[in-house]
Amino acid sequence: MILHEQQHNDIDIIELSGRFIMADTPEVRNRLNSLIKEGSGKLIIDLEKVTFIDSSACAVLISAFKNMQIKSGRLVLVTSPVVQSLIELTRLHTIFEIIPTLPRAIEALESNK
Amino acid sequence: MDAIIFTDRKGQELFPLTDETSIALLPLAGKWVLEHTLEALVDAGIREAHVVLSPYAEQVKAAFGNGERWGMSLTYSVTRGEESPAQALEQIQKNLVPPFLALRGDIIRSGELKDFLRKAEKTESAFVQALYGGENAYLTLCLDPLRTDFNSLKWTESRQPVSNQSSIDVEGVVARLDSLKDFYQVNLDAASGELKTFLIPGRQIALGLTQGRNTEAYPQNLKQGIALIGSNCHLHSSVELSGKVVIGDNVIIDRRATIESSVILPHTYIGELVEIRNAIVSGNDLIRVDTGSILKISDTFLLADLKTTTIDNGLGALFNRSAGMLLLLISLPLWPLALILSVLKSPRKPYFRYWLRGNKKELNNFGVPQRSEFSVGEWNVDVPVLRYLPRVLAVVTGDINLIGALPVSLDIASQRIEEWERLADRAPAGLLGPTQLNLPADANDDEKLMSDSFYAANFGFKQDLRYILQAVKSFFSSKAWFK
Repeated sequence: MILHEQQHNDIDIIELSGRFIMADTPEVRNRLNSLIKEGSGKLIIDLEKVTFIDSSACAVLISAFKNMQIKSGRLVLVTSPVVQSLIELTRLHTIFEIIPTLPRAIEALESNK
Repeated sequence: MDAIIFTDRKGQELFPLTDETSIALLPLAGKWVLEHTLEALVDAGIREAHVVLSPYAEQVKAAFGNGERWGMSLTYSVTRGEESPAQALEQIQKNLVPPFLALRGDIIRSGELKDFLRKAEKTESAFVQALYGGENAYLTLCLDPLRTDFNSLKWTESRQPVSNQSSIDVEGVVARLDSLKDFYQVNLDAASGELKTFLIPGRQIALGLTQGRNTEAYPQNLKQGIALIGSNCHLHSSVELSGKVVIGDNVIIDRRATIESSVILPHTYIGELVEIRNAIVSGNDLIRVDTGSILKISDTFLLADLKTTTIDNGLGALFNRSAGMLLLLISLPLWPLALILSVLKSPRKPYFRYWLRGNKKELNNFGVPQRSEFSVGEWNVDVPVLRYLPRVLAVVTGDINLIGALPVSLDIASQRIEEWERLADRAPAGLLGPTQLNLPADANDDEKLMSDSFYAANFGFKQDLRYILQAVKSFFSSKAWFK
């Protein structure tokens, strides 16, 4: 799995690609934790290039969601069809804000819609 | 023209009817709530719609599919539920080309959509809101999305239009389904033909008595009033119906039962001599709309839920218990070893017991069936295979399955409130499973819950067999013997 970070104004963006599985979770969890702790409270997790995701990886996303809630920030997911179908299967769409593309996610966070 | 249908209400206001389903799938006069909206769209010549879903999205998708049955082409997207319509539109994976119709599919409206569209298309506004009989119909024709005010589509929005200048009033009725009483009343109104544009399924076998296919009912059942009976129902000839009565599909009503001004939801059994008045009955839930009381009837001779299923859809109970017995026999040589190591590690407390939630169901104090607790032991030793050895006994007694989700205490289970958290509860608890076999013992609770949710979403015979093979392989690995 490849992890890439960028910033757009005050929005933190973390882009993941490839297989996101249990072995990757410590690294991603740490990165997300520090981004949420030090960031502005606006975070996009871009999973558009993720080809596979397992339950441990979903648990990392849930932890990030909970941490962001504590900070009263906003977390947005950008998903690939594979990730989207798993999120729907596990009913996580009822807690995550999911936007289809990165530009639209940035737009949503900038306008705070 | 496309339509965007918002069907993302969470449905707390209609609990317990929405405990395990979405408002879109509640039965209303022989059809699902969303079905009435689809039929209105087809009648107005709109054949393509995108449906925005939230709770129990997979159930709605399975029920409506690609919309072919209604002569429509349906696509779907999911949101967290009850978001602002503008925010929900941000999230859908479809390029919207104006003009398009945006409307709610989880409320009921009866009126001529064609009339509204004909009038609305003549205006030069960026958007036009529909009023049915002067009330917000939660329906907007959008001609310019950037200048459209979608707030009137929020289901919590008042019945009045957001802007009088861009609204058109047509004849009709709107019901928000915002309470059990409203749901009850709309059902009765639809059955009695007060909602003019509704297509009511079934054929009339006597004056005021309409029934669906394969239903066994008798003209003498209707003493006075109007009754709409669904498909595959059986009413004894001595049953008495009066007032306005709506009976869903697959309902059985036993001899000399009396139903007056009530709505009986599908898959319900009503017992001999039972009297139902001014109520909604759903399985064994009796909801009195006049008093607001909700009773769970535990006596299955009175009311029963005909669709009650067991949680064990994987390996059969007999197989599980036999496998447990075999496993117990095979594991016998390990028990003295577990005892010795536990005594050496902790002479004062080599063995301890605690309670977990099993798969057997029993009625609680309120008459609600729930999974019961069982007592299980654990050796005080670090070797995982030996530590959890006593759980084999729970497989033998049928408290847990050989393969299943990680058993949890009732306390932990009661903390699972959200829909995604409760998904894991659909799977039976087991001795072995993906969580027990694949996750480290110190994995956090979210990881364990997600692992069980993945299992619950997919479990079945083939998958269970794979876990048995994995368990055999794991038994000979170092992970099973060293922490």
